[in-house]
Amino acid sequence: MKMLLPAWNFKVAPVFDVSRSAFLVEPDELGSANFKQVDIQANCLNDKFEIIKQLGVTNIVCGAISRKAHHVACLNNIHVISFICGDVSKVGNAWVSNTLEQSEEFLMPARKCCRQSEAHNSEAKRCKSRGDCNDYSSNS
Amino acid sequence: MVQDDSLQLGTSTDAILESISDGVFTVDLDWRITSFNRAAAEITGVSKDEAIGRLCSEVFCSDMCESACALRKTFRTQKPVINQSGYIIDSSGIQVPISVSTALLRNSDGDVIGGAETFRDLSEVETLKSELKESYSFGSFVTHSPVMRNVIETAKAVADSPTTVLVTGETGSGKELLAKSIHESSPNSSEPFVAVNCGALLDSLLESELFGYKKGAFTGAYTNKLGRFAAAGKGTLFLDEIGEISPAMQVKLLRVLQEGTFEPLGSNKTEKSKARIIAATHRDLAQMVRDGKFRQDLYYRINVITLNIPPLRERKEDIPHLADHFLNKFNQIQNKKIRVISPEVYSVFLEHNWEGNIRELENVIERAVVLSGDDEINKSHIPHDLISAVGSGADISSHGIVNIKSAVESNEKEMILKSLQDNKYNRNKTAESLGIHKTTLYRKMIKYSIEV
Repeated sequence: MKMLLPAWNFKVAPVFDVSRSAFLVEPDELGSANFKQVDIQANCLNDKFEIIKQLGVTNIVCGAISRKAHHVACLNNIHVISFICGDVSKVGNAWVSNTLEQSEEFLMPARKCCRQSEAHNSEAKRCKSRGDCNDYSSNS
Repeated sequence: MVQDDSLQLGTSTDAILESISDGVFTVDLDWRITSFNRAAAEITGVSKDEAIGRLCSEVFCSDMCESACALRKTFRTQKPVINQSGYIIDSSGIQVPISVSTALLRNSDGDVIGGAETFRDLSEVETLKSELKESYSFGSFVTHSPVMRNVIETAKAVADSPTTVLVTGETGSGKELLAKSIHESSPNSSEPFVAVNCGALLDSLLESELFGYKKGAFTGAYTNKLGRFAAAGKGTLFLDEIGEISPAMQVKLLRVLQEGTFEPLGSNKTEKSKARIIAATHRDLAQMVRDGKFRQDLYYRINVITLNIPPLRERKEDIPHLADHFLNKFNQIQNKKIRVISPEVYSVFLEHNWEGNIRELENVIERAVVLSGDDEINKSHIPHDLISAVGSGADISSHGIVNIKSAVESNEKEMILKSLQDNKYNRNKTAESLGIHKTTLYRKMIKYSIEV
């Protein structure tokens, strides 16, 4: 299981769509996060996902992401956890230890509703009916 | 860090910031948000309470943050950035187009203590832009010209009814295509669309073509032949070049249009016509009626709804799109892979007068596709007379005689000036002597910057 963490200044890149650099995160034998820096700069989304697919990525943890990019990720069977912010090392380790989605520390402001709704089905239904989370709840 | 009091906005400034529709936020030197107005909250979907103290990139989520931050540029250059375009991704993943402007914030000593960024939601502007760019389409008829919009709207409105339509316009302007589009959008679109060029046939031939004939009706009529009226059934009969038909034929046509019946040649049995008639002409039928060359009753019968297609030179917005359309068409027909038409060729196209309208453009592109051996159409592939005509036009322009319109305007201005002098600058008398209303005179004086 490989996770792609688009990064900028050692923090989660604010917008996935235009991110140029990322860390490939994998758990090591001891259960800690192993980071490898990769270049994901591309001219278009399809090219970016070609690079990501070649890296064997199964998960993306990122900041803001457009619906289009999210949709392309879904089509490529890549699970997306979006609207995450914070230090790359902290986020990577939280993901490896399965605590990322439970922690509000890493959520971008105003995205709590969406994240919480992904974690809780009933809330997701409520959010979806409002049209708040549309594409996002599909991956929860 | 910036001192709180140095970024505290006064009550009045606060009120102004809260009342404007542009988003405004300020940051300290650590890129943390220190103020965030109402519009900023609305555009980003992030409340003021959530935004204050956060890194601006975590709140703003713009494509500019990582590599083209306007504020970073302002900090570096000490100069404001005005209207830099980009987008933000709001909390529901929607890209919102914005333009940003920035400024430095200084304390009373002149030291930089942070930056201010204003941003404007361009969603509405972008929507309006795309509406302006959008094409008006109707069946196979596509145009990007606003002057064609009324024509398309009227054509759409009449498509559902069986009303007779008259399509006017210069040769090659797309009259048949518009007629076909009306047919395709009509409730009887599954019925035939039958076109007849009335100008191409002699009277006797046109009569047999339109109404058909029975075996033995004339020498050579060995079998029964269905006429175009019958062939059209409940569909559409397109009578092109209706201005060319003889007076005798006009009478026969009038009867079908009035009574909806006709008799094939050699038959004494009256047949009913249920076809919708769309007539077309490049001539001024009203003038022909005045000249006694076209029957008035027939004119009124066919002139129920008139759609006038402007010539291509009056809707030059369509030229690039039509050129690209024909390039694709002839690429397929001739199995070529020409990708582009060079900008020089486009500029020749836009300068050209296109007397032959769309048909002329189509022929020019067909020729160019045949001649081009690479992936581009350049000036060497288009007819020399097209380039030289444009060139000579430029020469004329350089001598000050731009076109008929400007020559007319120049004369008009001179006449008004002279008449004003003759009437001692009395506007009422001047208007009277020129035979125009005084408000018209006043409007023209403004137009030609004539001051009295």
